[in-house]
Amino acid sequence: MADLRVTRQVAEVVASDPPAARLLRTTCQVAEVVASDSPPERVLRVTRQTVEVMASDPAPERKLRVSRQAVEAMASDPAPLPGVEVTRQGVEVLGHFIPPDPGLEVTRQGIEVLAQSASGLIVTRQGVEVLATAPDGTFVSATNDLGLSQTASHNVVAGRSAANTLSLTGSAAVNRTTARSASNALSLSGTAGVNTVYFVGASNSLSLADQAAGEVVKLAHSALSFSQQATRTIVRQVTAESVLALDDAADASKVTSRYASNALGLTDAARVNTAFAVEASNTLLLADQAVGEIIRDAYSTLTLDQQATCSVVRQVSANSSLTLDHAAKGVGSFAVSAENTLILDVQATRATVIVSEASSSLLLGQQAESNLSRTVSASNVLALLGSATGVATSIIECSASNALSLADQATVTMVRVIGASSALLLGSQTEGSLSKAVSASNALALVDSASGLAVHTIEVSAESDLSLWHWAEGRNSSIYVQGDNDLDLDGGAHGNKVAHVAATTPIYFTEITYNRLTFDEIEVEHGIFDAASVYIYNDPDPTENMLSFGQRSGVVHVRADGINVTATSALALTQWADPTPTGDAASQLTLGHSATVTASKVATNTLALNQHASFTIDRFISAGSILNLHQAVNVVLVKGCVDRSYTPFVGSTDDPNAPAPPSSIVPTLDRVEGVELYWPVNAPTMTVTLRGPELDNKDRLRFQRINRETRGGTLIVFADPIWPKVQQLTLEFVGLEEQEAQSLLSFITVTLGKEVGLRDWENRHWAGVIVSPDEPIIRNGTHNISTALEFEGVVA
Amino acid sequence: MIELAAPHPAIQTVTLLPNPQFGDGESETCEVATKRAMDGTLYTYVKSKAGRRRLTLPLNLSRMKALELRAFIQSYFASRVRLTDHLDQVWVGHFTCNPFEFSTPKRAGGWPGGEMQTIQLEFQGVKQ
Repeated sequence: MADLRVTRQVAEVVASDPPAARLLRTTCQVAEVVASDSPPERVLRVTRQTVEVMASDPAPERKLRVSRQAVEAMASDPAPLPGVEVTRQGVEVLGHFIPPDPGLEVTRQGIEVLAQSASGLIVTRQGVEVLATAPDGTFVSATNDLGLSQTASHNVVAGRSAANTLSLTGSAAVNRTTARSASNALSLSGTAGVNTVYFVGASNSLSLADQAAGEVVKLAHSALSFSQQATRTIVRQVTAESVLALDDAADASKVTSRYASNALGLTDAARVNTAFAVEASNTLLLADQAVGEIIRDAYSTLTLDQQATCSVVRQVSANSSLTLDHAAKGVGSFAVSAENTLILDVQATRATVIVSEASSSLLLGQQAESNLSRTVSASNVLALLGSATGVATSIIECSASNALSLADQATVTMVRVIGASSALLLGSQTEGSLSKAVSASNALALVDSASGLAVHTIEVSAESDLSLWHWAEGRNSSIYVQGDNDLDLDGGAHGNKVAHVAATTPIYFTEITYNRLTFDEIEVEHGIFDAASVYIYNDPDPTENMLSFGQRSGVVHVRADGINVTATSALALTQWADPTPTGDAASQLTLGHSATVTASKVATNTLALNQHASFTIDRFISAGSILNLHQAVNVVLVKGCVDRSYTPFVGSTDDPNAPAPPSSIVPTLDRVEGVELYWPVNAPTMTVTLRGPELDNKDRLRFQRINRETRGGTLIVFADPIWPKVQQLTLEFVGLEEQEAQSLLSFITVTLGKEVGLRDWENRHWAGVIVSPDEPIIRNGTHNISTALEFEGVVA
Repeated sequence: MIELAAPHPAIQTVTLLPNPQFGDGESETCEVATKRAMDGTLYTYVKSKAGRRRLTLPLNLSRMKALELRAFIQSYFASRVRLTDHLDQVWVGHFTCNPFEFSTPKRAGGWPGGEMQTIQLEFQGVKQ
């Protein structure tokens, strides 16, 4: 039958067989003919029967015969008959056929049939690709294959969680499908409370795209090895969607919005928006997230860079730039020293800063006493300009930056106080000829007291405390981010040194008096030219201006499991001015910056999701050790003549390796005359009878054994039971007749090398071989022939 | 009386033999090799053999006892044997002679089997 050639005509006949009748049996050969019908014609109608035959063909080479036409025929059947369906083999053929032949390709129709068919079908890559390019409406049930739900049920075991945790090996065959169903497939249902975290983790990190390689377990354990996922397009897409990309961290609003939308949602972002900006500018730089290294950034998470790119940072930098750059010397030091105190020029001109201070943290305590304290606080600068014109005129202009100007015209005792800003309460007291006291509320006190020689004593104390405390906190249900930014600005300047310099420098007096010796009028100048230096020198209290910036940024990323990890960044700016006795005001500005960044660890620890996806195979490994104990029982009964009679005491043992014991049956020895040799053993036809052998016959037992000595000298003897055991008889005969001797020689000649029988004088029958055929017969005399015989055999 | 018991330690079979004839021997199995250097120094190399000794037992047996011993040897020629000698010293070791040669030097009237057979057993073991 195989030689019959199926023509197209035959195939047409077969194909035209209506389904209802189906009388014709579609053979494989017919199906091949139908399938090979070239596209131009395609006259042959591929029936479902044909396709079934093709699909069920077990021969591998015939898979290629399933053509597109066949699949289409299957798919286009509007009413499939029971039992007639698209077989898996047919689809596999479609999917595995690479490169496709013209006309042999996977069509959407074919795949749809597959997707809608019963479970168990394997959608091949080619099939999925076809589906991927399909428009909406194409249903792909690829997600059915990734069932990971069972992994959560064995968390408790956790015996070897490291290796067994995420055993997703079962889903290896559906990896390609995973890309599409990543969101659905990775349903860690057991961790319902950590869903948000999971999304973050999933998007950034837990893209289990490499499950096919069996490294899913490692991923889950190390939990942060997400590097390989970046190389996959699908993973990257997911990452973009999950928007951990804080790429524009400088823009606080964007960051906030993305946080809110994502897992990192800082719910309080609206309230702490400014603070977050500060944080972001100072600390939180989550850049480069779009490059695919988002995951790593997310781990390092908080790279605290002090980038002064934001306005708040600039404010801080302005504060930190408080430099006491001109040490007061001479007259000019008056104004300069005042400036040394607190130069907040720039800030004073910006209302925004003030507003921020007022709202947040800038506490200018001394300003609170009056409405104009704001101006004064800004004028911590307190520029005191002193100008002296004329001899007896001292003009002191104290201007508190914009508001305070002290003009002292040294016309005798006139003190003109100009407190335009009225922030400074300047009280003037006059004692004696000239006494002035100027105090600027709490912060700026100008005390001018002149007593006696009208020496001005002006004490100026300026104290400004600026503290910035900033705290940003963001919290989500899953990820809790807290950022603290504490900025403390402490600027304190007090002491007489600054003040007296301002007061004394421009004021001096000329007095006309009489010389006591000549009684002439002489001019004596009294002034406080460098009195400042004197005061400074004598002042036990050091003048110092301490400015400290304390900045602390703490970011806490609370993981889903509730472990807090903090990241701190401390920025301390200390400034200390120590005027020297010579009047030089040295300014030492020490910027101490210590940034402790543990944010990387934070992030690293944060996204450890390994504990949720643990699957442990509880492997029962039993170690067996078999101890064979054998027992043996033996009784020795000692009575008379046991050392002569055959009395072996044979007991019993259950050791299977024990040698077979000797027979306990006493052998029977029947004395018979002579020795008989016969051949063959079973049916003797040749027999030689000799007289009994002489005494000194030998019975040798030779065994094949292995004797070995161990290194310690112990003797080990071993013999396999199947090894040969040789029994040899040595018999010597004398007094033989010639006939007997010749019969023996004839017997030896005939039975040379053959097994012969020997009945000994104890009527025991042996079967063996005569091994001494060359043994001579020796004629010792008449009727006295002797010979010997060596026989090797066993007792029959 | 000599008692042969085998296999040791799970004794299954015991055979009692008469005392050996005079001329039995007991010797060490240890070895010494001497080397003398050019300057006359003597170097010795020894093998102690873990206290193992060699017993030589010439036995005169009746024919039936010889058959019993023969059967015993056939069963336990490679097994560990416990030997209690005529001095009530217990030894554990192996038969080392090969072949085992039974000779029939003379008749023995009144002995079981009517003949006397001799064999010289060589046994190496450690005294217990």
